Amino acid sequence: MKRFRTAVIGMGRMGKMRYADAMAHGGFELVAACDADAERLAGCKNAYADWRECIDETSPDAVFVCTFNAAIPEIVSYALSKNISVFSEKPPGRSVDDVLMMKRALDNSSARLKFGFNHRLHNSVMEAKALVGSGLLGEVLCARGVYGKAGAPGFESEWRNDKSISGGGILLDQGIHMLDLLYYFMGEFKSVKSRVDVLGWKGISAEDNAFAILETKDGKTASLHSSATQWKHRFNLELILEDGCITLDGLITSTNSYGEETMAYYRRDLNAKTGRLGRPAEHVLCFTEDSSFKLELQEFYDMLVNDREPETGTIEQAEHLMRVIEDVYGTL
Amino acid sequence: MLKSYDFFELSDVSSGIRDKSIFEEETRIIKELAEGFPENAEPEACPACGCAENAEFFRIWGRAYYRCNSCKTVFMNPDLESLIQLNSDKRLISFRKSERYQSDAETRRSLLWDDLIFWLKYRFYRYLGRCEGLSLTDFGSRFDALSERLIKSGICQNYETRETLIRKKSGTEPIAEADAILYFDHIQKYKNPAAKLEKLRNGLKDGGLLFLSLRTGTGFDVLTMKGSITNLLPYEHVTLLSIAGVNAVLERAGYEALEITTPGVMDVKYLMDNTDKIPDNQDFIKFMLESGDKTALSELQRFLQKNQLSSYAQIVARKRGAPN
Repeated sequence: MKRFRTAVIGMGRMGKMRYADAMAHGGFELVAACDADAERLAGCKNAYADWRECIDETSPDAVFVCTFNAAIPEIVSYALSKNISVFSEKPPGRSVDDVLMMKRALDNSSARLKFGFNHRLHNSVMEAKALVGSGLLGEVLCARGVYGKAGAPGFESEWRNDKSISGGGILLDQGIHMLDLLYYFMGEFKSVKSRVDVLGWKGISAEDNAFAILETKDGKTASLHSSATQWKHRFNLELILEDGCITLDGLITSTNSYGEETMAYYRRDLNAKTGRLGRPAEHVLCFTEDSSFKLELQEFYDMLVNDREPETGTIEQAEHLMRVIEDVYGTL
Repeated sequence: MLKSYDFFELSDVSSGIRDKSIFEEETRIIKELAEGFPENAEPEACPACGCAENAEFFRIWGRAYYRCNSCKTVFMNPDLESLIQLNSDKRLISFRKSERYQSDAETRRSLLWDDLIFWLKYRFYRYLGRCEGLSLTDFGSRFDALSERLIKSGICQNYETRETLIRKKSGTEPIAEADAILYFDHIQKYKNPAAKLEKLRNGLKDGGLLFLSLRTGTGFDVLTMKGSITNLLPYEHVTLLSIAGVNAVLERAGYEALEITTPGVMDVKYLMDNTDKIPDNQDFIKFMLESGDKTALSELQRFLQKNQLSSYAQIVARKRGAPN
């Protein structure tokens, strides 16, 4: 198995996970880890406090960038300028300008870049995508997405709610995943109507609720609610198609707080075969495990081995998502 | 692993999947044949996992069913000659091919078959990336109308039935290696299910799919009713694999299990229709069936489906390299 010399920059929760998964994979030789907080580097081989030194001294083939949003563009662009391939956590920076900076670096590099939009690789999403792709339920007409969490003690002082570091609030932090899924199922959005607000977490500079109505280029509509006041965590995506509907509800996550991950589908039944119009037969798939992070890692590895573009988390997808988000924020 | 279930309210399955008198006649024919077969020897090992520890679990028509202590598969140990005799019996074959038998199934199972074909198309697309123009071999097909529907569904470019009463074929060339094999309600007839499935590999493309459906030995009705059950017929139902048994058989035969689900809809209804036959020591189940309202009992069926406790299993597996 070909092995790629790899460094992990940013050893918070996601960085630690990527480090462990990369080590277990077998195709990545972990040559360094970097974090400004030395305590996070305990047990890591070749620890660095400065990311530039880490990259310059170890010359890895690939890096995982798992830092604050504000730091992502500079680190990603620098690595690409050294022809080092990059896996970067989402969001892809804080703004469209950040994405364009990374795009310019990628255009001038022989290396590859992938962003971590793992939700596309959750089992329920893959099943839904297959059902939509089969055409058995016709075309997608519209969609509704709700993704929300409750926050946590000390939420107000988290870096994620400091716009100068994060670039935005719950929409950029978590809602971006739901936005990516709506994009995945419906295609590019051409216009947005929105409202963002601080409803529950007073004192934070970024939004704790974002509401958006999105329209695609071919006139289809999606709605999105991203929330940090969802006191009972919720992941729910409903796709209405010409001949049925699909509901994704719940998600298997590390916190086990989003409920059982299910995908239910219903076929349009105006003849009321069940005896009740409006209550068609319900078919449910539920899942007992999630491999989305491992599948994502495998995709990154395959990308490196075959020297090809990623299928998910491309710079083009990242740019579109950030444009939509800035549209939602009204900053365009 | 994927678990799936379909929610049906009890009233949706009130008509049942077969006419009572037809089933009684079929049972009578099989029982008359079975009474003429020699006594069965005690089994040496579980046909699913090979474990030698098994014990008699119940008897039907005086014929013993055993249960594996390891994987919980329930099985009998008939002699091969008797099985061949049953499956080639002219009276039974004629009855099953009769207009009455076939049309009753078509009428009662129409919605189920419609759902089955939709599900097949979906799973073909999920695992093969397409649901049209496939080559399918269908083993043990019993219903002419279902085969016709499969041919007309657009799924197959080539379709052939094998080991069956119903001879159906579409397409111009014989199928040497199929994209998928359908093996519905067939594997339970055999003493050595792993050997049967291993033999199928030659007729399946690399990475091709195997679709199985079967009665399980760990289903609600079998474990509750045991020897009182009326829809389990010796020599017709030889090996009732447990879910663990299914995994063992697939592993031995050289397949990767992609999904194992128990989407059966009849378990609760069957027990409700046969409360007088539920063994006396099943007080809780009797009480639950007598006192539960329609919603509660529908939820019970959903619980059984979701937790692989229904007596009907559907499996999708993929052919691996050389078998273990």
